[in-house]
Amino acid sequence: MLIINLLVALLVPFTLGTCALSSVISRNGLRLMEKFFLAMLAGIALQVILMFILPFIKIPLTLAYILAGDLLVCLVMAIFLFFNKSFFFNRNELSQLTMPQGLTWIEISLMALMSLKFIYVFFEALIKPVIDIDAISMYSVGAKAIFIKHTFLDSFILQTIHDKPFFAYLSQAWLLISLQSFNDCLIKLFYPIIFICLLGVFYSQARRFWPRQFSLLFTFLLSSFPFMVFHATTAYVDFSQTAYYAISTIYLFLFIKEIDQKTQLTIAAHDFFTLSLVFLAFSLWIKRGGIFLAAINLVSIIMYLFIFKRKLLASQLRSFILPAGYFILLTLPWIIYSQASIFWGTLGVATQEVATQASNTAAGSNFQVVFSTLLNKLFLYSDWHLLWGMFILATLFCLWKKTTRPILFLLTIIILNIFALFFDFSLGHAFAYLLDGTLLDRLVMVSTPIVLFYCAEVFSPNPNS
Amino acid sequence: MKIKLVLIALVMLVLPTITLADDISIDFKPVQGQPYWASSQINADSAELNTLIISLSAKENGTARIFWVNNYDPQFNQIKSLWFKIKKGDHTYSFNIASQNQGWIGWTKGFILFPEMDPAAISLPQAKLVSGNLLTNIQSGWQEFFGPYGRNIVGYTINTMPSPTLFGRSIYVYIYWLIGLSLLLFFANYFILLIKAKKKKPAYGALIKKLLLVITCFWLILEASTLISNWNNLQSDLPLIGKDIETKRAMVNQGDFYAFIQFCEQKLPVAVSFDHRFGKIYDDIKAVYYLYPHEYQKGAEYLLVYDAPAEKEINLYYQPFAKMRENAYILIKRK
Repeated sequence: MLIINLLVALLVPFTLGTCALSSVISRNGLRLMEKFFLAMLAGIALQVILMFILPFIKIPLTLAYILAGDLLVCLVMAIFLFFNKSFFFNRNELSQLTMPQGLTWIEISLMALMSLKFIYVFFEALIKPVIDIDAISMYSVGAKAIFIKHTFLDSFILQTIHDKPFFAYLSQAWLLISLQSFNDCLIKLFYPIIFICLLGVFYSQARRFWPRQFSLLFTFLLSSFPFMVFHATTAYVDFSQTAYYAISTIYLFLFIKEIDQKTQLTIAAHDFFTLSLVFLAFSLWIKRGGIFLAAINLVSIIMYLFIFKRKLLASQLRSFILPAGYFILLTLPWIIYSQASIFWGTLGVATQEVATQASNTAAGSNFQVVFSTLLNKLFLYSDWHLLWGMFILATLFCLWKKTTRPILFLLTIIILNIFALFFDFSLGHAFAYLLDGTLLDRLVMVSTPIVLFYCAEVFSPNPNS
Repeated sequence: MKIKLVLIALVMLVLPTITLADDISIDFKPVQGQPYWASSQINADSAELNTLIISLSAKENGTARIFWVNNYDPQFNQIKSLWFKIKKGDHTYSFNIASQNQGWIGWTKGFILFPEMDPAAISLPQAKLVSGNLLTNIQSGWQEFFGPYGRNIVGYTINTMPSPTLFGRSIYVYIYWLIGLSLLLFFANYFILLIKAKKKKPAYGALIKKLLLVITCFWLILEASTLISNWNNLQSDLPLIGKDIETKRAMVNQGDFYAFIQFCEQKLPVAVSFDHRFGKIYDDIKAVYYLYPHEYQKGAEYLLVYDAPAEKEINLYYQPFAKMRENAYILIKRK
């Protein structure tokens, strides 16, 4: 029975994700593995959005009702796909699915090391019940309450959720509902799955331009960050945020790379742009900090298009508006529910504090403390292996030999992400979390896959990539 | 001949410890009602005696902290502490404290050994302060690198994972130096080739390749060390295999806490809320999680008491309802 429940827990979001991505992505632009992992990730997020909407239309969050909702959504999309004849997976691809040929011993070793990591992450996540305090005090207790009460519109649950986005609560609640029991080992099932999906998508994105060995090497490096691996075994939100945001940003980079040389918007570029905005929308459902991250990406891309690609933007406006529409559609329920007030609230508080601190000498000393702590943490006393040292080297090499517009675009996003940390920590109560060492590493984790992809781009063997 | 010379050199390095140092034996004793061991009062010159050697026996793997006080700072605090791993079985641990912590100054007055695991799992630690030598320094460096830094999360809320350290410095300091030196050599070679080759420029790609190779090698070494930690974590979680979910919850909580939760689930009437008094940090949060749909409410009709300090006023408002053991019971409000 448990196996059947587990299959339901995984296949339902996967089917939902497949249908949704089939509706918005062309069938030929992506690799098979990439589609598979993207469908799973999109499915988990869409399942959360669906479960978020149901209680507002007085539908209880029980297995039967949720499955009915899924079925309805999938049917509508299936009708669209039937007439459009553009299913995400095509038969030829599936029939050509074979084991990779001609692997070198280096590639086999890298794959073996990654496999060890997968086994470790799955084992550690699923063998023990939730024990991490923030998960117990917020996400998992909320999920348990939703499972028992069949809604989140309950005073205890709303108090637990407070102003946080619903991803962790509802994704964990879905697992409990589909398993039909309070199993707080399997409640963490999605986190190791997201870990594998992140690596799979990262590899596919890398493989688009670089040789297999080089792509595998950087995917292996991504799998090796101890802090990230640890988070993939817990029921926290930081790792999910990292995965969704990194995938979104790297697709945005691929989009820039694609349009940089061309005057027309290719199908691939359109797919990259769509995926980037769709995953950015999902990342807003995970953590409040998603607002700042989304703002960074949106402002960067809008400015880039206005400065460098104004003609393309004018001639193909419809192709840009459609993905933007998906973004708005996916974030609308959350914006209507609460994000708008949080956003304006956060912005209001921030502006007020900037104004207050501008006349306060403490702001300058805050900045110095943030700067020195950040340097210490990034380069020496947090366990990011050699990532940030490599980032400095990559930037020096980039400025020396490889300054292209797409690389500079990615570098800008990374710098803005780091700058956002200054913004976060220099102001108000977050400064205390910097001093007691409780927040910085988790916030830095969000940028790590992007930084690694940037390093790969700079060190890539193909100079024209 | 060479082997003999190496042996003589080693003996020469070890010799000062044997001849010069006045070792100080330290007796650690468990402190009544507290989860740590304290040493007798000592008076040791930290400049001369820089290495602490502890022999202890443990029933399980875990971590512990050693705190000390000196004539400058008579308080036990985290600034003057070492964090180390305890391995199951009888083991001897060496710490060159001077190399790991800047707070090792002045006259040392005493130590505390604080196990971050069940204190009952540790038996009678024996210790001595000595002047370190090459062998103890190697042992200390080894234990420090394979210690909890870079492997364990600090605290309970998954907030940070510090880098591995060696002799008090981040391991990355050493690696950055080595990478920097390699880079200098590569650049020197690159520019020599650039000057020599008038027609054909040396390949920029080759330079990148070499650099990437060096970074990857160091990264792999770090990853090997991480894999060892992963293996240790895996081993400590192996006993959970095959257990049902209730047994697992009992195993991941300390002592009989989960047994008390099960007791409360059994005794509390349906849909009542509860208040609580818990002695240990975070037990209150866990109780809210495990006991839902019973909700926590301050001043509720039922009061759960588990290893909490006595409060006389409680008896004015509450009376016994159900008892699991001494210091673990449920009270109900007096009518």
